[in-house]
Amino acid sequence: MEQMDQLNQWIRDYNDRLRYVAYTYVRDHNRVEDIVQEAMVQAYLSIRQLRDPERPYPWLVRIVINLCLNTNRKYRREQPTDLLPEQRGRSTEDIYLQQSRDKEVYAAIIGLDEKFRTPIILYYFEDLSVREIAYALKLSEGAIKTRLARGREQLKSALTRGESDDLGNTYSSSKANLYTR
Amino acid sequence: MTLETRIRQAKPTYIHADPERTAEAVMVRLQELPKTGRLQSVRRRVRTAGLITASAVVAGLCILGAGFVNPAMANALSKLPLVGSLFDQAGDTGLKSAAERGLTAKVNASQTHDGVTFKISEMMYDGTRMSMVLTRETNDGDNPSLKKWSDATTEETIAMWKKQGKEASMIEVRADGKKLNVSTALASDILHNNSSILTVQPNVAEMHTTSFDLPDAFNLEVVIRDATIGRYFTLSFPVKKTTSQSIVLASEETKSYNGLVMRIKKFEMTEATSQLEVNLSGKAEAELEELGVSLMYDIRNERGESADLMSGSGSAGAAPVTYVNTAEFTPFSSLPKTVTVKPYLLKGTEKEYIPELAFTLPVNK
Repeated sequence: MEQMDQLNQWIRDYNDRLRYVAYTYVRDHNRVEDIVQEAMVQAYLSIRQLRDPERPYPWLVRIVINLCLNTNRKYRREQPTDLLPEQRGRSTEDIYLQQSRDKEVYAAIIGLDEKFRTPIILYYFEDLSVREIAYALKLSEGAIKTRLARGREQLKSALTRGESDDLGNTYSSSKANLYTR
Repeated sequence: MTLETRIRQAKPTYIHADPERTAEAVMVRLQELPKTGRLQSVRRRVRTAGLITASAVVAGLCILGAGFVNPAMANALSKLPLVGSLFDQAGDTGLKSAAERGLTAKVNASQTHDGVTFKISEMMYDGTRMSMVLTRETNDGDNPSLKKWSDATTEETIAMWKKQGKEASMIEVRADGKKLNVSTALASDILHNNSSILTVQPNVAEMHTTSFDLPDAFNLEVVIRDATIGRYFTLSFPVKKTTSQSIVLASEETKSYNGLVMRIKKFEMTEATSQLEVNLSGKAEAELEELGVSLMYDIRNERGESADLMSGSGSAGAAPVTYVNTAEFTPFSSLPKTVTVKPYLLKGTEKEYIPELAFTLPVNK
């Protein structure tokens, strides 16, 4: 396949997925646009570094994450201003949350620290293997396994905490109702 | 329900973005990239003298830029009619030396279509690279600069992709009728002339070697597509290795430091080029790649004199989890007794040598 055909195919196949991965890093719709476009340019220019043409996605994710980390470093000081457009209307984050079948778990995942959140997203949402995640994040497979395990632990405790908070709220409400009566 | 099932179920339906819009934007970005060196049909990760260019955007765009012609020289050249050998006037030290010693060959290959003529007039082939003087002339005598032509060609290529979904091949090289897997580059600093130096080297990223694997004599075909007029030009001529000396130093010895294993696969010296090929292994893939991109090399003879770095590349090796570094240096003024390879990392502007990985190779005359 010609290089340009290949690029076109990747854009068709992976545009939405790469945008989602980028969004979890930068949380800004405009930057996501920029990052995915730049990632495709980089992929085109370095196409010969692609080891497994049958499975280019982990390589593309790696490029996207690199760009996200660079963008975050660059914009760190300006972040509050850049978040303003998202705050005016319904944020992209809200849309993703609404699209989730388990909003409670989704919110907990998004609340995780980046080092645990990304492996969880790549493994459970994006179906990447531990090896592929290690490649994408430039870490060892052992580190990814540890982060997945710790991410799951943190999710479990966040969800348990949420449940007991819910119970607490119900109890308080009931008590309040009693008093009102 | 298990936590894992719940996590999987939490995956949101992704917001759909129009891929056509993204494709259009990507094309615009490609169009806006720096124009120099666009004629390369194959892009490699490249290091030019004193500068690590790890960024994929920069990769491959400046292979002949910094090391080959100084800007003052390029400027002067743009104002003067070309007299004599372009190798002598604008080549790197190796090409200059080859031209001075008469180790380049005059070539008379040309083809004309629609008032445009491409010519190759001089050639140097030393087994490590083919360098040739390429000229584009127009019948109206305007002879616009090659830069103008290469820029227009890039835009044309992109327009063509938009129409047909295909990229035109710009320069293709064949030896005895067989297409070579090579990288091609024009010396970007003299592209404002209508002549430049076209250099062809093996595509290390795909071939995993710096050797051409060609006989000393063969018929070369350089196929150029001029997208401004939509025509192909085929320049065909016989090539003979023009240099008389080719000394190859090789070693099976490996050295390691912090888990990184290094072997000097080859150090080849001709009158025009000194070429280093290093194999790296022993680290996880990502770390190996990062080290491979960052590592640079000094070359010294027994008197401590160093050869100047002209270009370099890094790419994955043929075996799994291995990496190949290549670097081209200007030749030593005389054949050395020993060659010392000193790997280093750049820390700011300082070279941080890794003595544990230094090799000294004896030259057996």
